[in-house]
Amino acid sequence: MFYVKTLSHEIVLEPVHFGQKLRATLVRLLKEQVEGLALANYGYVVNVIEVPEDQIKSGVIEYDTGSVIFTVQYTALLLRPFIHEVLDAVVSQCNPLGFFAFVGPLRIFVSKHSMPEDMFNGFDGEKDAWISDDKEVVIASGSGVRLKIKGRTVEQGNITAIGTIKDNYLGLIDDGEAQGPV
Amino acid sequence: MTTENIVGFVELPSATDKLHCWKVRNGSSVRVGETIGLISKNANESGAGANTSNLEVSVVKSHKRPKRRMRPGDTVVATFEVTTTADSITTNSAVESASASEPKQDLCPLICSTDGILRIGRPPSTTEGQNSATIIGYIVKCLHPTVIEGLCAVCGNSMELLTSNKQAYSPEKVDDSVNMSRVTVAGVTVTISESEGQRMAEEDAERLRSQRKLSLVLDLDHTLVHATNDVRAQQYLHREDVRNLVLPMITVSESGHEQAMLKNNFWMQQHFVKLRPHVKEFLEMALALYEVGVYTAGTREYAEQITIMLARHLVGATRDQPDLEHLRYQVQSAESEFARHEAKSGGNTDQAHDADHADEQGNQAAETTDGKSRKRKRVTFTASKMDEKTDGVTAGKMAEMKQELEGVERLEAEAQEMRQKLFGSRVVSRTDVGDLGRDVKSLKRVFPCGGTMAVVVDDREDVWANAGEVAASTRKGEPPENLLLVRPYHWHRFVGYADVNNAAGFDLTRSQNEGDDESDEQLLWTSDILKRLHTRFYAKNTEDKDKTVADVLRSMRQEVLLGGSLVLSGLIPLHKQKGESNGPRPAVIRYAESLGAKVLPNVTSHTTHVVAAKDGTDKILAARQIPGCFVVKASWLMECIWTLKRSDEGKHLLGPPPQKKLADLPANDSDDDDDDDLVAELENELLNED
Repeated sequence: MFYVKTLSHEIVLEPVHFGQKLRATLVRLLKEQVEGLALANYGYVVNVIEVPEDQIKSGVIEYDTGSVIFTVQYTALLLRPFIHEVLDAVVSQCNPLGFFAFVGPLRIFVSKHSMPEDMFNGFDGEKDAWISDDKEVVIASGSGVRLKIKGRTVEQGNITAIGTIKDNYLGLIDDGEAQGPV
Repeated sequence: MTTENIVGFVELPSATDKLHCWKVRNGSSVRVGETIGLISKNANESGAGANTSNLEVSVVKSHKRPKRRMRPGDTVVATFEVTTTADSITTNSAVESASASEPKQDLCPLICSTDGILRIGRPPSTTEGQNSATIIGYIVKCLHPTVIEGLCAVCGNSMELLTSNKQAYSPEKVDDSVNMSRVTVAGVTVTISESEGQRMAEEDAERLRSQRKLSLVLDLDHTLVHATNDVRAQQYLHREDVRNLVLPMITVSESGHEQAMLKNNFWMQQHFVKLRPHVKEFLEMALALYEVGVYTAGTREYAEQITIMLARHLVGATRDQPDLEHLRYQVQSAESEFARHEAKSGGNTDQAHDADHADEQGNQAAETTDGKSRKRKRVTFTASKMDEKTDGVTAGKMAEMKQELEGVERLEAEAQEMRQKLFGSRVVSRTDVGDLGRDVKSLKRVFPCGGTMAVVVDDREDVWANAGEVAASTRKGEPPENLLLVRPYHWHRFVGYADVNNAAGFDLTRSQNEGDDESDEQLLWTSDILKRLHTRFYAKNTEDKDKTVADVLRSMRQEVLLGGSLVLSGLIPLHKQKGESNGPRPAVIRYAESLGAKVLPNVTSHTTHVVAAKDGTDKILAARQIPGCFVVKASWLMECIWTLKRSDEGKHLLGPPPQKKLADLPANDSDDDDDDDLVAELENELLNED
């Protein structure tokens, strides 16, 4: 889920930016570079909340290129999946092995083994949806589901998690006919 | 699952405890330290739920569903939830916050001791030393049926995949025991275990058999379409079968990996696509008898666009994506203009009055952004009609445009449906199987455990042959037997234009392009072959469950030139004539032998055909001495391969027809004494002549 943490980031500033607006440029560059990034153990940086400008120490000049490296501390709002956490997600794609759901930039895969027994064989190839035996629950692209995170991994700058809807009170919560936010 | 690997037990701490409730369901994965249930310490019988024995608690109740969000207008649906039992404790640390409906009990969490999958109930065989009264469940090892991005999809553990060798298409092992193979489903490449793959294969086979269909995997480029991104092709857009689409350009970065240009750069190029003749009939036939999928060497976007385009062609829609968007934009801007005019002029009553009125408003509207044209109109004081005022957008025209748009939108929706029905999610593109490399196609990616009911239609064989893993019956370096080769399709007008994706296959008849490619009948031929294959496969469906498509194709091929005896001339370079027995055979020999003919190095009296590249060789001269021996061009053999029928030799003669035509070789028998018959007939003819 979301949490706030103080992180630090190195910004390489080219000499063209030196001058009056140095700090403002630093803050802007920091936001551009860091927001949306998936950091290894921290999760996705959703937003940079605050950059205490007085805390930016002097930068170190790189001898080779002439650019200056600043180490900037900032507080960031992070999104990270925690194991055993229960989240609401939006289904993006169903396939015969399970379905993919997204919580913002976080991708979660729910395999058919992690679905309740009455949905195990319920993949409908024509409609690309998972349907329970009694036809009550239809999980298709755009539906909202409540799932529990079972594991996660970070690779290639993206975080993928594994989820389950097998436990009680997990599963479809939103039909997804209207474009509602998660 | 008969042999499950039990790694742990779920045990009550003492015999007097009672399980209050389970926190996880039967079959869920559990981890060390997870709370999987709550135990009540004091054996109070008046607990809500009145559980009399531990085993009764473990009776599997149906999955409880969460409360749905209400939408405006929803009626309250009778839900299957049981909301007010004591099991509605939602947090793990809720020992303290037990709901008020139950009497005070000490509830302790039941902690799991190992990772794995939980099974509730008595374990099948208890080893000695275990007190069976307190065992209420057991934990089995997770079999990791599906692994995605290094995580097991069931237990969520990071898997360290041990690859036997560093190639992308060899089976990987998990825990040294289970073979995992990569599979690409709906654009995602995941790794699945062998048993899972087998189960998928069985399910697919079930489904196909119940619908009496087979699986068909189609290539796109030069098989169904000819695509180019050369700008010169724009002049042909007026034709019904030439379409255009817009795709982002692909560049190859220094590291050698392909990257699509970011859409922000707007570096989108227009591509022009010519559909092969008869593609509509082909797809319609395929739809009825086969479950169709696509495996292309193009990118994912390319594959998606082409499939929609094919669907549109089937439905009869002619406007493609760029046209459609343009039309929408036109209608939208016309609508907004019209609405503005309607609002300003307020009706159609008095033309003169309106003219002045409009003039005034034209003056006022001079400052607005769209007032430029009206500024000019200000000058006209005549009783101008409404038409001119609204820049030609009348109610009538509006209605027309709207209708047109509606019609087009409806067709588009139909096309989308058709695409779903035709291809579903069975589209595999180069970007999906990027790790295989550019020139490799592997059937294993689509059908990890089987492919026995699949046919592939492609103009290139080498990409399929390059795959490391092929079926056991295929010789190394040769394409699989369920591959149906088709003649590569080049539209003559597009010849010389750049190719979009990979090049076309090798065409032995390369100098033989017909003047107008509209006479290309390959798709009709292939469609006929597929129909025959389907009929044969399902002819005796009760008998042979193990019959594979490859077998049926092989027997179909063997019948084509059975009894034929071929000599090749000028087609195989000397160094390949040695004939390694284990290596791949040269293509021509392979074709001839798969069609049931024998290939001999020299002309004998039994020779029925000499397939030659050019006239005048020794072998040809020798062959002309033999009555009934046809001297044909290589195109004859290729046509036999492409149609799976014995082609008419007369169309492919190289030089004069043979002397003294004998009766045609029997096409469908498989007698062993064919050759004897031939000799006997030859003798008879000679005798009769004398």
